Amino acid sequence: MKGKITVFLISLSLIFFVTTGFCGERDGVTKDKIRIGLITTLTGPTADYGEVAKKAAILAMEQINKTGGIHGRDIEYIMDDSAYQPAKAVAAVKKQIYRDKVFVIIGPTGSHTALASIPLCIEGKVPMIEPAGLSNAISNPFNKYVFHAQLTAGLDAHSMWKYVMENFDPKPRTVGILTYQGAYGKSKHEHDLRNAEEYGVKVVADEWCQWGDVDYTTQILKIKEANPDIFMINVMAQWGGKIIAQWKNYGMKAPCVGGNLLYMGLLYDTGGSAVDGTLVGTILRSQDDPSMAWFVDEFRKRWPDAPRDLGTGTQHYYGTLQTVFQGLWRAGRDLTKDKFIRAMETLRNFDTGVLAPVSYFPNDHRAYRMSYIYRFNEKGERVPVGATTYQHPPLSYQPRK
Amino acid sequence: MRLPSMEKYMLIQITISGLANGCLYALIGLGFVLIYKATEIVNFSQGEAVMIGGYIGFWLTYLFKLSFVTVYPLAIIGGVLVGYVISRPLWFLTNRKAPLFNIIVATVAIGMIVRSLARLVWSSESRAYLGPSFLKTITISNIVITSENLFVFSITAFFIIIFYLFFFLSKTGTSMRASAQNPDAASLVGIEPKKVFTLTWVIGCALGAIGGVVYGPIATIMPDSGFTIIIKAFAAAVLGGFGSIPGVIVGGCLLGVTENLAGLFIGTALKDLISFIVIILVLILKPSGILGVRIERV
Amino acid sequence: MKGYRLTKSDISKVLSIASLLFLFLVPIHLGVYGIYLFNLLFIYVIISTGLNILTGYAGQISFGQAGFVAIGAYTSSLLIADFNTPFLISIVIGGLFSSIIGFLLGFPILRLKEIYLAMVTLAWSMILQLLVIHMDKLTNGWDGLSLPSLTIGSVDFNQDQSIYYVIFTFTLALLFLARNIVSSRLGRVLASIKDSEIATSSLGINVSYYKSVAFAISAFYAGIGGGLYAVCLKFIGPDDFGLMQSIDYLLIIVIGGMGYLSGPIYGSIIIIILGELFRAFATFQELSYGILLLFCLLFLPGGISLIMNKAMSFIKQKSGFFDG
Repeated sequence: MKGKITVFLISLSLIFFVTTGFCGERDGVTKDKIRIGLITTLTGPTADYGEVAKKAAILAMEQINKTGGIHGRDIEYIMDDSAYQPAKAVAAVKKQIYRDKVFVIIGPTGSHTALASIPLCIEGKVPMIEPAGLSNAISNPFNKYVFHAQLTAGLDAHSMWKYVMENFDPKPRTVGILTYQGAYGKSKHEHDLRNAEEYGVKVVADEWCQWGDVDYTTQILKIKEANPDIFMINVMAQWGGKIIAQWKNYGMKAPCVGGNLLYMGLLYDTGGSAVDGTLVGTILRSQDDPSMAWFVDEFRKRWPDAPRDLGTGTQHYYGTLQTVFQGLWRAGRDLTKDKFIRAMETLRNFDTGVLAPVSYFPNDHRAYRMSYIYRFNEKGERVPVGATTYQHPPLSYQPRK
Repeated sequence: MRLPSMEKYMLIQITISGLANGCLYALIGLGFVLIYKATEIVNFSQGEAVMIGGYIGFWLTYLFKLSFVTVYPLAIIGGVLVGYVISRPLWFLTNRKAPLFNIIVATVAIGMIVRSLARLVWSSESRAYLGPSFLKTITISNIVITSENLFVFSITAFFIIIFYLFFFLSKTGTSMRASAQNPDAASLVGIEPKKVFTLTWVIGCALGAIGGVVYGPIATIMPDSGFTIIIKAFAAAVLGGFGSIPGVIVGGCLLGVTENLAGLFIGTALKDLISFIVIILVLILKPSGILGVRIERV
Repeated sequence: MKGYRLTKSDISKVLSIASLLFLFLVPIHLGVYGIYLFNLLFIYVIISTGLNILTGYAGQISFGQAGFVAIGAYTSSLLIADFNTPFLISIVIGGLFSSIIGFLLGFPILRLKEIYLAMVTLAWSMILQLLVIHMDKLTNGWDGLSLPSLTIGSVDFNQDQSIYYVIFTFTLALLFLARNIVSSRLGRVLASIKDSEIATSSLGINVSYYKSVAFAISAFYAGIGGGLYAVCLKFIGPDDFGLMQSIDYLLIIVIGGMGYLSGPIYGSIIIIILGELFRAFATFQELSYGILLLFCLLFLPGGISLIMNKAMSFIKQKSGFFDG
C-alpha cells in the first residue's frame, strides 16, 4: 500500500504541474494576440494529409503576421495531434478549450473525430471550423458554433453524377462501383446508390477494398465482368492510380469517375499516363492551374521538401484559415466569439484564392454549394471541365443529444 | 456464396495476381522467418525494415533517378546497416539470457523508434514511385501479367535462389544453419554465436529492405507502411509453418491466392478479415502450419 | 502520550488518508482538462492492471487487450444508448460479458507457446477492430457511437468533474480486487504457472483452466475500462481499440514494472505525462515511448516499480527512522 501512496502523491504533483495553464487572458484574445487552435492528424493513418495541412496553416499564419496581423493583433497557434483517434482528438479539444483557452478551433481532421469533438465545442462555447470531415452529421443538426468547411459526401456524389449525366453522350445506363471501406468511402457509396437510383442508372457491380490491400485484381475483374458504362472509384488517389492503370490494362474503355479523394496528384504518380480521362470533383482549385501558381510558389519557398503534388490538406487548411482571418477582421477590433460567429455568417461567395467560394448563413454553416470538376490528362494535369452547383437538403434545428 | 458467371480466364488471372501478392508477402516474411528460425525471436520491427527499403527505393529513384539495378544493392546495404544497429540491443538481451517475452517486446520498441525516426526525417507525406521501366506488361491470350507482377516474381525467385545458395553452399551459411540447430555444439566447433546472431539479423533486415523496394511501387510509402504490410507477412509465415523457409513461400502464395479467391466467391467486403482469421484458425487447429514441424503444446 | 514514537504503520495510514482525500478533491482544485487527464489515467490503470495479472503474474503474453476493451465499451454503450440501461449497470455488464468471452477464448488460445500466443492475440486485436467496423448496423462502424446524457436520478454525470468520482471509485475497487487476487491461492497458482507450467500441472492443477481464468480476469478489467472510457468520452469509435492501443497497455506494464501491483500505476502516469509533454510534437511522443520501453527492457526489467522499491529500501536502510 505504501507504494501506491507514493505513486498517487507523485502523480498528483506532476499532473498538477503539467496542467497549470495559461491564465489571465479572456477567451484567447489579448491586446496583441489571437490564439487559434489547430488539430490535425500528424501521426496515424492520414498523417500525410495532416502533415501538409500543418505546413499550410503555418504558412498562412506567418503571412498574415508579416502584414501586421488583424486589427493590430498577431495570430498565435496551438497545434495538436489527433492521430485520427477520437480519444486523442477529444483530449486535444479539451486541452485547447480549457487549458490553452483558444479563441477558435480548426479541425480535428476526420469526420469521426470531428463528431466526437462537437459536443465539447458547444459546451465550451468555442467556434469550431471543420475543414476535413465529410460527414453530413457535422453540420446537421445545425449549431451556431460549428462551421462545416468541407464538402459533404452528398455534394461530392451529386456533383460527379450531375456532371456525368449532363455531359456524357450517350448517357450511361450502368455503373460499377469500387469503394474503400473507410468513413469517407461508405458515406460516398451511400450517396452514389441514391444518385444512381434518382438518375435511373443500374448498379451492376459493387465491390470493396481495404487499407493495406496490395492488389485489386479480384475487384476489378468482377467489375469488368459486369461491363458497366462508368466505373465509379471511391478510393484514395494513391490506390486509384493503380486501379485505373489496371482497368486500362484489361482494355476497358469505360471512363473512370471519382470523387474528392481521387483528386490528388498521387493519382498520376501511381498510375502514370493511364489516368488520362479520369474525372474528379472537389472544392479545391487545381494546383496545375496558372492562377494557383502564387500559392504553389509560396508554399515551396517556405517548405522546400514538399513532394511534387502538394496534397489536398494544404489548400483545405490554408483556405479555411483565410476565411477565419476574414471573419476575425470583419468582427472588428473589439473581438468576441459571438461577433466572430456573426461575422463569419456574413461571408458570401468569399474567395480564398485556393478553394471554391465560401458562404455561411445565420442558419446554415455549410461552406460550399459548388464543386469543380476536373479531368486528368495523360500528363497528370488536372484540366478544369466544369463546375456543379448544389442545393443542400434542409437542416434540422433540434439541439444535439 | 454466389458463384459468379465467369470465364476460366478470370480464375487464372486472379490466381496469378494472388501468387504475385503471395510472393510479396513471402519475400517480406522470409527475413522474418529466418530470424525466428535462427534466434527464436519474433521480429516485430520487420515491417520497419521494409519501410526503410521502400524509402531508399523512393529517394534513389525519385531524387537521384537511379535505375533499379543500382537501387537494389544500395537498399541491401541500407538493410544491412539497419539490421546491424537493431541487433546490438537484441544481442545484449539474448546474451544475458533475458526472457523471450522481453526480447520480443524489445523488437516492438525498436519498431516504434525506427518508425518515429522515419517520420521525423522524412515527414509523413505519401511517397509514390513506379517500378522498373524495363519490365513491361505481358499479355498472354486474355491474361495480363503486369510489370509489377513480373517484378515481384523475378525478385522473389532471384533472392530465394541466392538464399539457398548461401545457406547450403557457402561456409558462412552452413555454419549459421549449424548454429541454429545446435548452438552449443556449433560454438564448440568455433562458430561464434555473436557473429551468427548479427549475421542473421543483418540478412533478415536486408531481405526486408529488398521487400520494401518491391513493395514501394505497389503501394505508396509512408512511415506507417511497414506496420500495414507486416500483418500479411505474419499470416503467410503462420500459414506455411512458422520457422519453415519453404513454408513461408508456400504460405504466402496460399494466402495471396486465398484472399483473392475469397474476394471472388465470398465477396470483397470481407477480404480484410481473411488474413486474421487465417492466423487464428491455423494457430488453433494446426499451429505447425502446412510445412512446419510439430511444435509442443504447453 | 509520553514516549510515543511514530510507527511505520501510523505514517502509512496518514499518507493513505491524505492522498485519498487529495484525490477526492481533485475535481475541485483542478480545471476541466486536469480532471480529464486523471480520468484517463484511472482508466489506463484499470485496463493495464488487468493485463498485468495476465502477463505480469501469470506470464501469458497478450497483444489483445484492446479487443476486450472494445467489447466492454461497445456493450455498455449499446446498453446505455439503445436499451436505456442505467450506465453503472451497463459498465458492469460490459465487463462481465468481456470476461466470459475471455474465458471461452482462453481455452483454445492459451495452449499455445509464447510466440504463437503473441500472434494470436495480435490477430484478435485486429479482428475485433474489423468486426466493429463491419458490424456497422450494430456499432455504427466508422461513424462511431455517441452516448446520450448520463444521469442517476437527477444527478448529472456528463461532466468530467462528476464522472471522475465514478471512475475513481471503480479504480479503487478494482485495485483492491487485484491485490486480493494476487495474494490469494489463485494468485499463487498463476505465479507458479508463470514459473513452470509443467511443474504446476504435475501438482495436479488444471493449468488450462487457470490460464483461462487469468484471461477472463484481464478481460473483465479491460471491459470495465472500456465502459468507463465510453462514459468519459461520451463517444467511441473503432479507432480507439486497435493494435496500437494494445501495444500501449503492454508498454505501460513493462515500463511500470510487470508483476508489481503499482506497475500499472507508474506506467499509466508515464504515458499520460509523456503524452502531455509532447503534445505539439506527436512524433517525439512515439519516439520517447519506444526509447523508454527499450531502456526498461535492457536495463530495468522490473520497470519503475523496481526502482521505487529499491529506493524505498535504500531510504529505510539509511534512516533508522522506521525501526520499531
